[in-house]
Amino acid sequence: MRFQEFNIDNGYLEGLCRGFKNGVLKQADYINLVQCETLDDMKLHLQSTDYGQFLANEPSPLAVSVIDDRLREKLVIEFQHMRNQAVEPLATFLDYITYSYMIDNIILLITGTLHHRPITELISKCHPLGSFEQMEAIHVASTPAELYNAVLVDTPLAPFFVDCISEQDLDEMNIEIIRNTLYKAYLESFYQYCQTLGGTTAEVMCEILAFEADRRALIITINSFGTELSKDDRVKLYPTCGRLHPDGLAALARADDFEQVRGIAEYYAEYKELFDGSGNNPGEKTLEDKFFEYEVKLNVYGFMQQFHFGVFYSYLKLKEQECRNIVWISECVAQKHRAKIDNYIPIF
Amino acid sequence: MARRKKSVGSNVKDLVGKARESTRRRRSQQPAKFSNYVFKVLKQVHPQLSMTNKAMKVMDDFMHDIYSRLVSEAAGLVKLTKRSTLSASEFQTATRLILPGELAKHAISEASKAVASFLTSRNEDAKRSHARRVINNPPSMLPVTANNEEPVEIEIFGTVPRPLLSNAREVTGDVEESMEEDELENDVEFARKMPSKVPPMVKNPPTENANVYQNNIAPDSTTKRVLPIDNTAERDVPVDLSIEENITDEEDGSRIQEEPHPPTPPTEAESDTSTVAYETSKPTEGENRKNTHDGEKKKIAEEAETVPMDEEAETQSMNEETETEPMASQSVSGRNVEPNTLLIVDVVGNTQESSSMVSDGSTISTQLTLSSNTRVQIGTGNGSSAEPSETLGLLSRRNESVMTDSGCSTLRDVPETPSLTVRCQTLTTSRDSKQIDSRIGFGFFFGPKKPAFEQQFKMPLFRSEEMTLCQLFLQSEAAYACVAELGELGLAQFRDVSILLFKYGFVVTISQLNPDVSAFQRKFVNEVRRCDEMERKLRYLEKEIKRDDIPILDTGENPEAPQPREMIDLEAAFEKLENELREVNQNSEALKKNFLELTELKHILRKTQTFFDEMAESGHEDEHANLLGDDGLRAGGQVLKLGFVAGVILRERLPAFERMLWRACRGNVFLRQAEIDAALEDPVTGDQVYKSVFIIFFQGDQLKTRVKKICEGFRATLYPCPETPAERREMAIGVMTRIEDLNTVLGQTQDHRHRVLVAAAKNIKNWFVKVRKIKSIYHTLNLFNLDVTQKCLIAECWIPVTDMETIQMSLRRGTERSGSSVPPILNRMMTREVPPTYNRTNKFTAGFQNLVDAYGVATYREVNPASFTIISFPFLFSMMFGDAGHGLLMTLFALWMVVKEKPLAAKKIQSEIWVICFAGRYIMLLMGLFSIYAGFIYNDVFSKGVNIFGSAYKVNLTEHELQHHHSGMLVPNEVNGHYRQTPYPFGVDPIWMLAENKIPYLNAYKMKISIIFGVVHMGFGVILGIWNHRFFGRNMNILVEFVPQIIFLIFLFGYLCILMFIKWTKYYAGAEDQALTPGCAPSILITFIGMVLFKYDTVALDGCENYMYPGQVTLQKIMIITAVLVVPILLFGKPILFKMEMNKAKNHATLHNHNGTAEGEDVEVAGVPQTENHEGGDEPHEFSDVMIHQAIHTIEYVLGSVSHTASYLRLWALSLAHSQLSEVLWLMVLRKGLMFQDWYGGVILYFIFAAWAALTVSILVLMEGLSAFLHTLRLHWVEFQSKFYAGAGYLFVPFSFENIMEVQPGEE
Repeated sequence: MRFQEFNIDNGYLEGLCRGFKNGVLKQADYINLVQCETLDDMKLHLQSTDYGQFLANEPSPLAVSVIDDRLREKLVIEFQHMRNQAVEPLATFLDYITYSYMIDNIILLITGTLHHRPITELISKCHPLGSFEQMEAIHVASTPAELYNAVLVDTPLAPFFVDCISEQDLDEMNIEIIRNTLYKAYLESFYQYCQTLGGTTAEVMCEILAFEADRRALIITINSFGTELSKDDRVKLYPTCGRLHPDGLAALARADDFEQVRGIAEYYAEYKELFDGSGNNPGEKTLEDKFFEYEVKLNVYGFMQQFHFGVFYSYLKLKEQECRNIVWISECVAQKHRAKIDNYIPIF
Repeated sequence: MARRKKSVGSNVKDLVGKARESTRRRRSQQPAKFSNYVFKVLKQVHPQLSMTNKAMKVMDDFMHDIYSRLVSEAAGLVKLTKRSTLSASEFQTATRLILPGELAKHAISEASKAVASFLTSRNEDAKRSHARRVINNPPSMLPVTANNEEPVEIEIFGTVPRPLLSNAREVTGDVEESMEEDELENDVEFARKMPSKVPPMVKNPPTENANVYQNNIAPDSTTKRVLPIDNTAERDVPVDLSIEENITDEEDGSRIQEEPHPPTPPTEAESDTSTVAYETSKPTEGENRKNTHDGEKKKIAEEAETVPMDEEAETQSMNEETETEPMASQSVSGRNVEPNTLLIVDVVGNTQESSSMVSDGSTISTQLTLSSNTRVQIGTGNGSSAEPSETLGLLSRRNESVMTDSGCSTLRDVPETPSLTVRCQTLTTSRDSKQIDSRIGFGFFFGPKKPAFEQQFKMPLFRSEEMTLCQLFLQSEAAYACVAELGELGLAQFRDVSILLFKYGFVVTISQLNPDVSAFQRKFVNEVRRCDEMERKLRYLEKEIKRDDIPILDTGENPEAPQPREMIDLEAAFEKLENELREVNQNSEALKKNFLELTELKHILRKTQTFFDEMAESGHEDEHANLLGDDGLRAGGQVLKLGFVAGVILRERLPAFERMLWRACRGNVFLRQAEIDAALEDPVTGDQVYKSVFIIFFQGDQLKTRVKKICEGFRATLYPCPETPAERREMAIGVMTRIEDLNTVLGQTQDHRHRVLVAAAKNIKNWFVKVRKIKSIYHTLNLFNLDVTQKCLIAECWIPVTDMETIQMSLRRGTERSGSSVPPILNRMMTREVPPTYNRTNKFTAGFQNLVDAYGVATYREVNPASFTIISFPFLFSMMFGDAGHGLLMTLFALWMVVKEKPLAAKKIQSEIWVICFAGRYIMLLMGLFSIYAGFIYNDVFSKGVNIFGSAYKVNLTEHELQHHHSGMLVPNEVNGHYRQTPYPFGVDPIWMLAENKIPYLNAYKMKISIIFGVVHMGFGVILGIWNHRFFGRNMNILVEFVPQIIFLIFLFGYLCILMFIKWTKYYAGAEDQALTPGCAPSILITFIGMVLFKYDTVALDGCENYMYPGQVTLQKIMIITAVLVVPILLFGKPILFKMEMNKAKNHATLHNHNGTAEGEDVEVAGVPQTENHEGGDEPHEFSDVMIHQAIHTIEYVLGSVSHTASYLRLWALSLAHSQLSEVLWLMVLRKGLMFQDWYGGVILYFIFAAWAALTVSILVLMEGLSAFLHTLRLHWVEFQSKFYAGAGYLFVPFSFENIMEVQPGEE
């Protein structure tokens, strides 16, 4: 019964999304892209893929940034189209997806203003999916409390922000903490929301979000070594919706170096694998890439089931990964730095 | 074809004249050779073809061989009869023994004719009487009668076969000479001389002749390089038609030396046979060509080295084998019969038209041998010697020329035959068509056969074009121009051969194996990219032009593809235009921005003025006036100075802006805003935006920065606003003047821009076409492969065979244009791939072809139903849509489209429905016309009948009766009925429209004709299958498939139709005999059911007869039983045949393995790499596959016959629905309008008519038309085409600019 009802509201969009997903570049495309000599070659090849004529109107000496912009533009148009067609609860779900971009934008803007960059320059770097009306006036605020009161109180991020309202001045450290607190709140809230949605959506999304939470926890821990972030503060930043919660997180809170983190991950089969295969030596993949790979895998699994919202999230994430891949390859091509060109993360 | 059918016979005469001259000239230096003549004849008949030296030698050797065999046979005969004189009869007998059947007869008759005419021409005055006698004598009778009575001629004839079948020039020269010596006046003298000459020749060739042979053979192998062919080639053949260079084949040479043709030993005469290879390519002396062709030529040459045929054995076994197994050589494995020269096969094949195997020469393949052909020929033997030259091939033609060589001029004109042409085609096509067909069929051997009529009458739509895969060698410089020409022509479909490997000396295409080769690794990627760039610029231009609403001039002209160097000019031009435009745009953008700012400022000044005025009204005159003034005074007596900023913001952002301000400044600011009524233009995007003016009052600097930040955040533009009214006024005036200035400047920029764009608009379409052409050319060139030397490009393309010359012409044009010296080479390739299907259509037939193609593109060269669809489709449609009025509407609409074709096509309307209608305008026209016809047959014009000829019924009813009794039943009885005994001349009598029994009457009629037309339609489909079977060489399928099918159909449903006709004609109302009255007419349906179930009523009605004719029961039983019995034939016939063929093939294969390499070589000749296993490709049809396939086919057919026949009832059903619906419309709508009698009736009728017309068009014409169309389509696809049409081909998509131009605009 649920399945039939699903299609009433969301069947079209799911079909659309799966159609978009078929346009995701395949391994063969990457092989061809990697062989490109110049960015124009890449343009030529991308023409034969689902991207079609997206670069056709760009004058010839292409820049990587242009490619990046166009890729993102295309993705955003597709997503916005789906968002505009969506009805509740899918609409909220899709909105939830955009919140993470909002968080990133806010942090970007604050950091930018801290470094006295002109706001217009910063705005252009923001992700279009995460833009909101008050965004550009963000530099009015000088403390988190001000930020909250003046800017964010109207945005959907307001509930997430409650935890980090303080009268401290905004500095680098603070911003990081804000970002991670926001993320924690966001992830937990999203997780909660998916669970209220129930069904396949919950199954698929919770797994992805749990991984996301764990990844954040692990990365926060690893990155916090050697910084002034106290262990107590660190604990506050761990999202509690992952598999690591509660034992793993408690252990992480006590960790002092990378090896300990690795030791904690040993207890979790999926993460053990990631840690085992990673390394910074040439020929090995970095932990970050490993995480990305695992994320891609989870997202691809998202498409295995039908009648759930996870496909939208997965699609967006996969497409983002694809954009990163293309940009990576084009950077390598543009800089003639072919040694690392194969370090993209294949999707299909 | 007409050109090819050039007279051979008449050419022979003057050729022979020339030949004689050359003979004399060269006798001393040159050995006797036929090659010159063979070549000349070939060139005359078919200038496009050439012949390898090797093949020429084969021809030559062949002549010698025949000659020596004849001579030795004749000598043996003389010995046998223990006579010492070699006479004509010996030679005749020898000819009969050696040459098979009709060929012998023909040879004899031709020889005697030639001798006769020789004599007449030689001794015209002296020997006229002789000549007449000779001519009057029937040729075949000549020797017998002549033997006794006219020794002169016999003796001459006796001498002739020797030169005739041996070295032409030498011997005829001999004869001539000897005749000259003797002056041929004294025949008796000459005759007496002969016997002394002949006997030694038999045992030991006389010195004279021996010289001839030596001359003949020795130089043949040594002076191979100076063959007359080459001389000719150099001398008088155009460059592109020169004969190929001789292959320096050492092996070949040695072989020839080892085996000089021994003229004497008759039984051991080995025929050194080889293939004659005609090539349709354009040979050149170019290196490229040699490189690429050597391989192929070698193959042909190797194939030519065939196993020498043991002629004696063949001739001995000839007669026994003849009739028994004519089909043996048709099997795929038939090649284990010793391969012989193609030429011989061909010649023989040409002599017999009725033979299924080699009906007209198009079926010859390398597998057929002389012996097998011989057999067949003897078996059929229908060619009469009265018309020999029509059927004789090259062999007899040689004879003629030899004979005429001796100077006769009164030879009967040889009828023009395309035999040589056909042969040439055969040689080139047979191999690939064989392969194609062996794949299509089920393991029979299938040489394609063109039924004779197809060859005679060009039937373009009957089958798809014959296609060939060609290799195209283009010099790099000329490639572009050549491809451009081909693009204009649109007749070649290029294949992607961009990556080739050289393997086993063969060019192997691996691009199919490796589709991952990405676009940019090809050669002309840069050019393509440049074109992309140009297109981008053009698109930019177009966008700008459209933005300014400048009409784009579409002249519809089609500029030629520009030269590559022109591309640079174009690029420069576009670059300049684009830059200019960008500059102008930048300027105007800056100006506009300026303008916008000023306008905004103007509005600010105006609006804020009102705010300040309000303040002034409230009593605060000075600029220090403050809103918080009272509070401030109260707070500390200190006058607070309020600052303010004024600016403009997008109207939709205002609420958020206001909220933000409030929050950020904790309510300490005061905002006033006013909307700007007029929309402002955004300078960047050019959109119209609505904005609001705001003014914010605040206190203190801290707030000021904060407010400014927020303004910045919300992209509000702030403008300095003077604080005093006077300054403001002043500023406003300044702004006004500046706006005016700006306006003029802006106007000028706009004008400039406009001028640029207008100029561009004139050419832009043209440019687009040009750039697209260049781009498509380079795309095509990217499909080509670069030769190893980088000097030439190799392409592979499918082209229609008939257009070879057109393509070559255009290639030549392209070469000329590019100024290249090396001509392109178009070389036919052998392939096992099935060629694409190409049906040449015109605007009329295209629509019908589309209908067929929508079901499935015809298998290559299969019977194309489109040609029949042209008539049958509108006809079946009209049976359902039969209403003259509605048909007229449809006709008028279609006619309008047809008449206004060009302007409508130029409009390029994109609406899908319109496109469909317009594409099918000719179909609609025919449908409309046929519907009018059917409407008159049904007598329906908008559901009303028309009484043109006066009804054949007379009904005596008063008006009162009519209105109240409704007894409008028509009785077709003479006595008390209404029928006048003269039928209504055309269609249905109009009175039926009023009759109460109209529906039953029409139903019976329409139902029956539906079935009749259905059965005819299906039967026609089944019959068309014959053409497919015959064409693909599946002759046995006619027997095991067609015959059972047609019997099943005719015996069941054909008989049903016959019953209908019997019922129609036999029973009538006024019959005297009661048994013939309608009451006694049996129901056809019941009869038919009874027939199938073997149920026959024994009790008849009173006065009636049970059966329609005597013997009905017996006949019906026989028919049913036969129909049932043919089903097993249909089911098992083909699989059993297949099994038999398989077994035979197996046997042959084991035999053939001893024969060594011949098979492998065959594969090579086909141009297929050795690695591909030829046999493997043919094997996969297992017996079970065939069985299952046939079972499905049978079930489908048998059940289908029943359901399909019933399916045709839709013709009746839809027709009934249509007429009923239109009648309802009449009764319920229009008639109501006609019933008002007062003046207002007219007014009401006006509206009612509108309703009626609208309903008629929408429901009856559109909806009913669509449904009838779809049903007709179904009847054609399912019921008709399933009987014969496989539709498993793929479409020919040529590289054509026209197509590219059509497609491209659609994409945008």
